[in-house]
Amino acid sequence: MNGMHVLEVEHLNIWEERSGRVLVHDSSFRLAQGECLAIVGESGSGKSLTCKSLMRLNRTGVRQSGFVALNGEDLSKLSDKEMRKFRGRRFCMIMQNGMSAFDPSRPIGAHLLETLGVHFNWSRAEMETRLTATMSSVGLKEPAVVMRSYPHELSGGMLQRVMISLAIVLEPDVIIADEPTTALDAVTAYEVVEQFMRLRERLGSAMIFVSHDLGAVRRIADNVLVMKDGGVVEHGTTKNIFAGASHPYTRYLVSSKQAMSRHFEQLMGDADVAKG
Amino acid sequence: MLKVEGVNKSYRQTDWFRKARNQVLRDIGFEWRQGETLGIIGESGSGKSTLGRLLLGIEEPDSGIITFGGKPISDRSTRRGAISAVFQDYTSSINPFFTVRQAILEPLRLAGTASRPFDIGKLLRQVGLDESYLTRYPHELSGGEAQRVCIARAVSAEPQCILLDEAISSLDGSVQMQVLELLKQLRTSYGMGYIFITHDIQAAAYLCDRVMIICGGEMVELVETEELKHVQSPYAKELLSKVIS
Repeated sequence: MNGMHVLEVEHLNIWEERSGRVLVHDSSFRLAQGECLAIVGESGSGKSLTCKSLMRLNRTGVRQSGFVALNGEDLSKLSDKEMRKFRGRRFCMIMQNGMSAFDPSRPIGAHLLETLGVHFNWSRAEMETRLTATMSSVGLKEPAVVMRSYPHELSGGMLQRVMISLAIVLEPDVIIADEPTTALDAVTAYEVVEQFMRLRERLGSAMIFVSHDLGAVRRIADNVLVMKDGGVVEHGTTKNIFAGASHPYTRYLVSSKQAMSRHFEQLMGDADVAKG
Repeated sequence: MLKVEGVNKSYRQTDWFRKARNQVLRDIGFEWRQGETLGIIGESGSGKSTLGRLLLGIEEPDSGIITFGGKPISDRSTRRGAISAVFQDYTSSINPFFTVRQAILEPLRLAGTASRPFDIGKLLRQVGLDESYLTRYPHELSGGEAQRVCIARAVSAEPQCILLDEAISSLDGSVQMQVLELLKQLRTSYGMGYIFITHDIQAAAYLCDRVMIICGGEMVELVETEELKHVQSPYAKELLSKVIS
């Protein structure tokens, strides 16, 4: 087994059990230590399904086959109980919608402490110190207030930061971010993308960044995987994908984004614009 | 044409022990000229959607006047055939028991002009769909298709103004571009104008003639799109510098 790759996915197939409809078809990719791979594509292309099946979190009725290995360990051979230990500690998922990712009936703090309690033998005080420190590092100004709040009292951007700070404390091998900026407005999305870039620098862990926002992808990713109708259309470095993609579908995705941003850049002239 | 003067809006906030009012809009005043596309840009919570609802006459301001062609917008007869809307959430915008045909004909039926001959096929082709969609139900449509149906429905009454409240924000990047192109093209063929409410500055800059930036319920800037790089206020400058292009 190649030690260079943190995550290896080979011939991943996902299908619906009842109808036999294939949702993701023969997708293979690898993730090196510290690499950030972006998965892009339109909705319904199977991006989120791929991520969920890496963590074996697909809903019942959706079946998968293929080889998924984390640090050389075949995940499909693990029992559900063993898999549960992997999630969070080794694999960390950051969801699109913060509102539904947290338990609505409990304060954020209770949820976070419970998660940490499962994975570490830290005392409550130690967990709180670590959480407070990371929360302030991601720009949450009053960690104690945030910990006491319920999910509905915080904005989408704040919940996204809470998830990022939990990921920092957990120090996972692979972080999967599933459309983390889609539900946010432009300014908050910019700040969250900044936080993701810092997160990578800090942990050096590999990351899968799922998004249809090509601007964010261009800023953060090293490599890009393009999906369409459940299949991998193209896989290449971010530079190549944006400069000269070989597949017409990728070119179409990139060009429609560029038409808008080029117009904006022309408007702004040489004024200060964050470049992707 | 659509004139807004000194508009204030607040909502009651009921705490356990005190009653406070949360001021959402402060002293907003501007004019939308016939045929123009005006962008309203702001972060979430800036009050832009509230302003949109006031412009549609769905809610009334605490103080201030909103008129369309000199007549108050709160009057139904002023709004009829003059202004229509497309919202962000396309899944809840169409009655789930209606087919596409019924959904598009609904505003015409309400305006009492449904009996007039009307080429629904032509309208669907204009928004990039075709007659085969007429018998479909909303759940059988993708996001982009559903939003196109919403646009077709808004266009069917041939209003002078369509208000789009985050109408492209929940669509995929490439579909967003298709819808923007569609809006541009409809504008030339019908000669109507838009009020485009969004947090996406690039999309607003692409479509709009003038852009208004609001922050915390106050109007910060109202400029021609070409003048966007010369904005003066620190907030507008910050907003523009945080665009991921």
